[in-house]
Amino acid sequence: MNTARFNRNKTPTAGSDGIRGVPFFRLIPLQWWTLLLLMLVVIVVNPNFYIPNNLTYMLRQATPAALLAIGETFVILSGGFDLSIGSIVSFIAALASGTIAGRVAHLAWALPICVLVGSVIGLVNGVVVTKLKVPSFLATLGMMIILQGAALLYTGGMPKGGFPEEFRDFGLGKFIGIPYIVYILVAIVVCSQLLLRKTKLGRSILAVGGNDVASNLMGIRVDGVRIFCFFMSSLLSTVGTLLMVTTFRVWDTTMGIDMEFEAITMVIVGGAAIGGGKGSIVSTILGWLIMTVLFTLLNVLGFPQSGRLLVQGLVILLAVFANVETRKVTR
Amino acid sequence: MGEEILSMKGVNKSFPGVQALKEVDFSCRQGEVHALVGHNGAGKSTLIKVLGGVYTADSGEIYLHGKRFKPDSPLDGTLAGISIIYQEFNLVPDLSVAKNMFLAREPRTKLGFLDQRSMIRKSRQLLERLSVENVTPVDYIRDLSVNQMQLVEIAKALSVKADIIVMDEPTAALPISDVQKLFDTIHKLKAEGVTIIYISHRMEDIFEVADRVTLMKDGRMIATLEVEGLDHNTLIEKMTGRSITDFFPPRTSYEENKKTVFEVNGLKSTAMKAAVSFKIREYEIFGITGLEGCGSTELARALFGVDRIESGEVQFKKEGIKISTPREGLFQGFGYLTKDRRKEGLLLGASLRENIAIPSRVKKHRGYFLDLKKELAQVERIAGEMNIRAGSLNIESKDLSGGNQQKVILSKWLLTECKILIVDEPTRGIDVDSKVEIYQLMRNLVESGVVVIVLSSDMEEILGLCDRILVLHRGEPKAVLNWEKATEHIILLAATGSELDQDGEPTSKMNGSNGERI
Amino acid sequence: MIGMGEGKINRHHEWTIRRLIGAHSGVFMVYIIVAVTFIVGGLIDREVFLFANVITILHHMTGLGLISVGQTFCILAGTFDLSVGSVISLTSLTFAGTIMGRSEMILIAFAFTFAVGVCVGLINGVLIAKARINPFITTLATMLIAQGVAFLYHSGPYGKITPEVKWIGYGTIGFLPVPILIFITVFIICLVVLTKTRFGLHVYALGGGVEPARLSGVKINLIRVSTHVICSVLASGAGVYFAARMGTGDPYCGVGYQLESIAAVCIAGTSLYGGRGSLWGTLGGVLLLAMISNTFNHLNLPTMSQLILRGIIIIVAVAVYTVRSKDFGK
Repeated sequence: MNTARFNRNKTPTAGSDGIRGVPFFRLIPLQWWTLLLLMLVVIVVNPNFYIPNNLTYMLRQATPAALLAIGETFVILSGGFDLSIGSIVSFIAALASGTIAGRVAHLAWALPICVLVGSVIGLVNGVVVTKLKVPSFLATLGMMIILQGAALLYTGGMPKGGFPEEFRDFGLGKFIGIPYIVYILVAIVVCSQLLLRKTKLGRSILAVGGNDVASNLMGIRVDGVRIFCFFMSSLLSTVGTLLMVTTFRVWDTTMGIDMEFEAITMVIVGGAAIGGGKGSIVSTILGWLIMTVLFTLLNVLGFPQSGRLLVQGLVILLAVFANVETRKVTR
Repeated sequence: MGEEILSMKGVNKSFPGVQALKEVDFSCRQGEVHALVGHNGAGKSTLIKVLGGVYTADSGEIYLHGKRFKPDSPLDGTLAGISIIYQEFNLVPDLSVAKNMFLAREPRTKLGFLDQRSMIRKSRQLLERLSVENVTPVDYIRDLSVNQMQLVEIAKALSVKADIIVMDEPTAALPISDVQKLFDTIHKLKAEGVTIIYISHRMEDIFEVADRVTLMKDGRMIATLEVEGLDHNTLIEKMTGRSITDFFPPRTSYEENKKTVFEVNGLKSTAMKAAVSFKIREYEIFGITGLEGCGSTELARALFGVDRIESGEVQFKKEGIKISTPREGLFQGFGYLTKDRRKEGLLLGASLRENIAIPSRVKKHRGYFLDLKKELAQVERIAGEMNIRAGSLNIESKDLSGGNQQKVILSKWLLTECKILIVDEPTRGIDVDSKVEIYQLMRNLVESGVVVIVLSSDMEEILGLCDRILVLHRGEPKAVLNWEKATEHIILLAATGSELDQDGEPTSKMNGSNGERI
Repeated sequence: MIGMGEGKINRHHEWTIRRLIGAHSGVFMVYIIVAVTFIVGGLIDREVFLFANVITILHHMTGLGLISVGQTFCILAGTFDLSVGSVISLTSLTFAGTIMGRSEMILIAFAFTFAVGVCVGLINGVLIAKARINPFITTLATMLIAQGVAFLYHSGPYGKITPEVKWIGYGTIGFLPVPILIFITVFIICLVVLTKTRFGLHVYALGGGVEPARLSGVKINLIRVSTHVICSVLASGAGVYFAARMGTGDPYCGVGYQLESIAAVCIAGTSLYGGRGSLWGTLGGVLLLAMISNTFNHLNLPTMSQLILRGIIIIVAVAVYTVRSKDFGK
């Protein structure tokens, strides 16, 4: 009955003897240090960087990517991958553009339809992966193609419809100097993190990612949890899309390209384990911040836009090496 | 039978938390069949794996044909002439027999291509040498029966010109009709001068084929005896050696009229080989045992809803229970500790605290948010009660010792306040102190009204812990014994196929239902 | 699982036909579907039966065929490669870009391009085998890196080939186009390697069971790395071919080929978990996919619908075979 024996402090690494004897910089995850470092470098290179306007611009531009990354986090934590989110962006953007068609009045029904369609896509992904047992990367890859086709089909490849001024006003609008969009992001981050850490469902996600057989034997509804994750992924991608298009006039074919890879990079850099079971929304946001600052830095240094992919690939490899947990040979 | 060709001296091997081999000496003579017996955890598999190069011993020496032998990898073992035939065969299911036989040693034509003709021809010769029927070199392994696969493995061993073939529980999964074929093969091999190390639980196997038998227990070598002139009782006496210690909490005498609290009638799942019925009474620890492959795990899985039920019913306190998924099992008050702790029982990367909390959370939690503080208090309480020795509840469970891991798993089920607890191999690979604690815990549980079902292949455990014992043989129930009447001898009789009544006497069918000798 | 067979195989003379069909039912199915598609397509539009059309289909197959053959090696060994598409794009650029219209650079361009292929393959292989990183992440990263390098090199079409190179894409020997001959040659070589060499057997063994293979002495890491190198080298071959067809290199030309190559391999029953399947199946899969495109074109389906339908077909096919192989493999 000796409960005092269990100290409630978090030990930084399992099996260690407690906080004493661990070097200071190990206590704080590597990612924070990286972010700090990057930000310092940016200041050195371009002291003008931290003007509020600049910052808000950067944050606003990067918010949709953050939402996609959060959605992807859910799927990766449960042990899968969602490669369709980029195409979801493209398709929903097209759908939104077409249904809104520049008229504010349409917003009332167009937005809910987009959200509904986005959710259904995620459910379909989930069902294909759980019931048809297709590996998640293949299933979502297939969905990606289907959605690409669907987007083209719907729009005929031409800009169709458009977004009204009021939409863009909202997108550019600020409250106490911070864009509305960022508030929404913060709200979503908080809710997602709460969901993950403080609800039964959220913790089940981590359990399923860690060991789905054991989870099933403990009474967790493994299939349901997985489907939920795919649902969250596509839902958040949809919301991200809708936020993204507030700064555009109309849909174009380049929307959403490669965004799935950006999202996955952010999740990995943030420290989530690839087989699932470890990670959090906060760590993903860290990854998002790191990547955003990194790319801004590269821009400032004159690195060509076309090199983005290369950097992402390298960063993934780096992150994987730095994070021993990621080396699980699972699918 | 000739001189000594193998000699292992003073071999020690330990794994985290467990000393598997303690100063073991073992030797074999050329051309003999040398049986290696002992309970689960006695160290037989470990010894063999050290010999075969799969494990490296901590200390000790091995001499093969008089020369020092120090294998670093399984291949070293194979090339030195030692072939191990594992229980879970080492064959690639989607390749043909011939290809499996010559894997990594394929004969090649002058152009460097695979000499398929040669492979097929040599395979055929080897199969003929062993009189294998109905198997051609081009058959796929996945299409073969267990017996045939075993013969292929033996043929493979012969193709490497092994002089020592180790067989690990070769008859465990064989149908009776094929056992004799195996023995014939072994006799044939012996005639060719091959030495065979035969690991088994089964008395009749040993008396049928072995020349000598070595007994192991708790990682030590107990004795090596000549089989000729040995009788059942002496052997068993030697095997059980120490009397049942006060390891185990005391039990009450068997009473005739006790209330039945748990009843299973004709239960059969798709994975079970036969329907099973039994009754459990109040305050009894009920044991289920048998040899490897007896079907106990399948029975447990059926009870918990893991496998699909074909027929039968389960009653708890006179009320019928229907369970088709583990989730339902949990909600109906079952708890199930699996055999494989690491793969099925724990979230290795998650903390202790999380592991313990999950099932009760699934079962009891309602509402939106978790009350983490309350959960933590509950977890701390039960971890304290279970005496889990860990620095902090946040340690990842993969870093715990076997005993602590098992306690974590027990804790999580106890926290769900289950009414029926099924435990498969409760103390496999666990240190002695933890074993004693777990036994006492089970006794306490049963006295507080929980139904406790223990599945175990450890005779000592079954005999010492359980009040009544169900013995299975190839999925069929063969005897239900009460602890005062049960002895290892009787259990083994039932476990090898004899049908016995309550007093341990054979039932009226004299020759067992499958025609074996008793 | 193991041991479920009743050991009833014993009719010696029947082993050829029945066993062939039984074990490779998926392959036969695919070819039947190919034939059916061809006939139905032809009934809808007589043009399908024209020799010229058949040649078009065969052309279509070459690019996809080369990488699918490479992908087959990886999948049989229990891994897979998502970077093939990017390697195609990158190598088309390096090839055309190195030549730049100068005939004397041809050999160097070949050497360089194949070196790129080998490098990527080595990186993939070593990371997966030695560093034990998940194939998905590894090849995803190399995919991004290769594509990124391609974009950095040139964000649009770049490079110029010479008439000699053009012959690779458009020439004919007799009545057969060169590309098809190249593909046939590659196919035959790979078929021989897979079925008749030690290496090929080890690839199957590795995919069929890592532990039995390891305990038997198969050099696991070497095989894994080799399959990735083969895959990337064949992808660079495809890059050369594309450059020859387009007359120039293009950083976008390889997009989408990774999924198609995996689909082509899996459609005919090769298990994604490895150990089971054949190149004939891959060939069938490639034929089928090319046939589908061709039929869609003749049906005048807009590209968009084609995409959608392709995606659906691929998912369904993989689903069917994954379910089957899961049953077997467990």
